[in-house]
Amino acid sequence: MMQKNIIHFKDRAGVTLAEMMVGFGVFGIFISIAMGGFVQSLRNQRVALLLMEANDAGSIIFENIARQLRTADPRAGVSGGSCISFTASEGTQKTPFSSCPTGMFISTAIQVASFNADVISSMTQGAPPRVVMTITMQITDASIGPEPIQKTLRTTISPRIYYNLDSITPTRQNDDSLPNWF
Amino acid sequence: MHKQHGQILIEVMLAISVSVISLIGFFGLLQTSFKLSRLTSENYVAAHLAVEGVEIIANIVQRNYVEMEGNLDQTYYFNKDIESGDFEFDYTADKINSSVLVTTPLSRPIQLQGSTFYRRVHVDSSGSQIQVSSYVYTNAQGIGVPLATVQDTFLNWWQQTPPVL
Repeated sequence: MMQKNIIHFKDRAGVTLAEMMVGFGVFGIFISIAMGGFVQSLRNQRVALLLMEANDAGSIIFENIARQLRTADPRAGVSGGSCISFTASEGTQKTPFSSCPTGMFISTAIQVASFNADVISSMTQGAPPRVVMTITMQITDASIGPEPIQKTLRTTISPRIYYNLDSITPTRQNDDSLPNWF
Repeated sequence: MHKQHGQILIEVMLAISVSVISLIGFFGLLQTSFKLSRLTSENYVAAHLAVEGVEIIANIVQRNYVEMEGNLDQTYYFNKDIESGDFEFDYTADKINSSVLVTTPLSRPIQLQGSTFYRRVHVDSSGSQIQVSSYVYTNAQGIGVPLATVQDTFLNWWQQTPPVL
């Protein structure tokens, strides 16, 4: 009886160990794959959030400049390049982001890598120029790896005519038959 | 006892299969979420490019107003150089006419940081108003839902009609 019990116990123990090893092996492989995927997902999530933040920052810079530029005085011209400056409707000189945006840190992870305003003057004297703005945001963060991620936005803004055009051609100064431009 | 061994193995396999299937679903969800974030990021860029399409028309309208000033012989008018139709032009275009008519597939890619965008601008131009719809796509076919759409209408508040030709 005792002998039988021991044999029975040994049989059972052997099988259980093999099962356990296979079980742990499969479990280990599976968990390592799953953890890799999970870590990757977390990183992706972080990248997505930072991209969103970089886009928001770029949009805000564009919006800030665009709002001032749309009401700028087109006759006074717009100075472009890595900085942008123009004359506002009330006559004051405006330089949005008084130091040029390039290099500006939005947060510890997000920086303006480059900013350029390309001014395309109109062939018509006195007509508003086109200002083509390109901004590249750079994301540098330990959580997304050593390579920085860059995101470029581009748009074009044209100042609107808000003034009485009579001021351009004095010949029409006293012509009341045409509407004023305000 | 032997029967029990078999059951244990099947149980383990079943349990692992169920876990694998559920985790695949979970990771699929995370992946989809990431792809959507990337798409949203592209939408941001596309929205600015769509605005550019409208802004170029706006710029030509402003120029026309300046040209109309002092030129009352009706050679200059509100929607001069802005015709009706579907166009594809870049930011240097100063005439929206047959020279920039849209082609199939679209042929003026806008390259920004490795992504390619295509812009199609639909214009309805008349003597009283110009309606502009700017669409930005990632594919040259210009089909499907655009990444961004911007619409604007410019009214002829100068009230000078174009010449009847």
